[in-house]
Amino acid sequence: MAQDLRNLFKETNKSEIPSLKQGHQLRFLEKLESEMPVQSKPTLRKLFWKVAAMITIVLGGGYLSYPLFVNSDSVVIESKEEKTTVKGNLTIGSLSPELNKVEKYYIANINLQLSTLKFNKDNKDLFEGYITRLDELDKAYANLNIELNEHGPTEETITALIDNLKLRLELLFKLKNKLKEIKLIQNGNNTNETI
Amino acid sequence: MSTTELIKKCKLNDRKSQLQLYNMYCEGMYSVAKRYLNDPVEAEDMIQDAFVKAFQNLAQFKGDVTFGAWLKRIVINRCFDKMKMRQLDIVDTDVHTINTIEEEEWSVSDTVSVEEVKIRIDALPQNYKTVVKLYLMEGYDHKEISEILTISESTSRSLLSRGKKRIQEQLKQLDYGARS
Repeated sequence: MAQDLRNLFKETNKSEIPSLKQGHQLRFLEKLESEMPVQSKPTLRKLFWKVAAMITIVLGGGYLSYPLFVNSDSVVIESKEEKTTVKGNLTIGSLSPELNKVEKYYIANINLQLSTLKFNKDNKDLFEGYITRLDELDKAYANLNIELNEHGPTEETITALIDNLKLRLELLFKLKNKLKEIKLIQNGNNTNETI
Repeated sequence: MSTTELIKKCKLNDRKSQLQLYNMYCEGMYSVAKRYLNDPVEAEDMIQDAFVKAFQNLAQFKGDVTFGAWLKRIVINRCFDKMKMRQLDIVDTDVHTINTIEEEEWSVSDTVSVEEVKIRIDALPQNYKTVVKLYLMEGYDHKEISEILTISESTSRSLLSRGKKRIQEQLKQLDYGARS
């Protein structure tokens, strides 16, 4: 007529289990994200949002230091020919170290992509479309920079400049992918001379 | 995926595996924490912090105990760190010699239910209650209890013995009351 207290608890540990409140997994995820963030390669999207956040900071700084940037003999920016280098005494890169990094990243990647593209008679048409568009964007970028120098940094100008870089890089990726597709099709068909 | 494989991935900060492991153990750990921290928000917070700490220190997990046991120890330690902060300290003076027969004496009437025992435990003074819970409910031995509460093993034995005696006496009275 006796039982051992120790055994009593060995059984019941399983029965009554108080439950965690709804949403606990999300709260845990947030904790994990803040304490042990996952190091990932900066995607274009992430970089863009990071930049968007920085714009506010930059504007604050830009507005305050505006007098420093205004230069009565501002140099006119040369555009054309060369791909994406910008001449002028002010680009978004000179506004803050963060923007500098962003600008460098985009321009470096754009140039890299351009250099790896292989042009031949088969993809000529595809190329032409993209190159025309890229050229337009290049001009637009140059114009935006002129605006940047003449009117000083504004949210619109900076956003437009970054959008421009982003778009150009995206176009290049698209082009690259299309070229890959063509190559695959060509290899599959085996009717055309492969590159 | 086996727990071992999951743990391997968690060591690499693989988010998906971490969440899987969390889902496996969170309810269990929560129920443990709730025994010592009554507030559900505090308990949830605490176990989640324990998980994060576990993930950060996974390299130290050697597999000599199960992951659950290792994690539970982290949870318990955090609970008591917190409680110590609230000055629920155990004084090291409650020592008296106990013989081994006394130590093995755990019987209560068959009619006693778990619920009743739990009520008796909760009614114990704080220092008895803590040791009894750690021993009976968490299954720790005196060496482990002494580490967790930073008391001596003999104090742990003594507190357990006294707590146990009280529970047994109260349950006996209940028994007599029911019969009469």
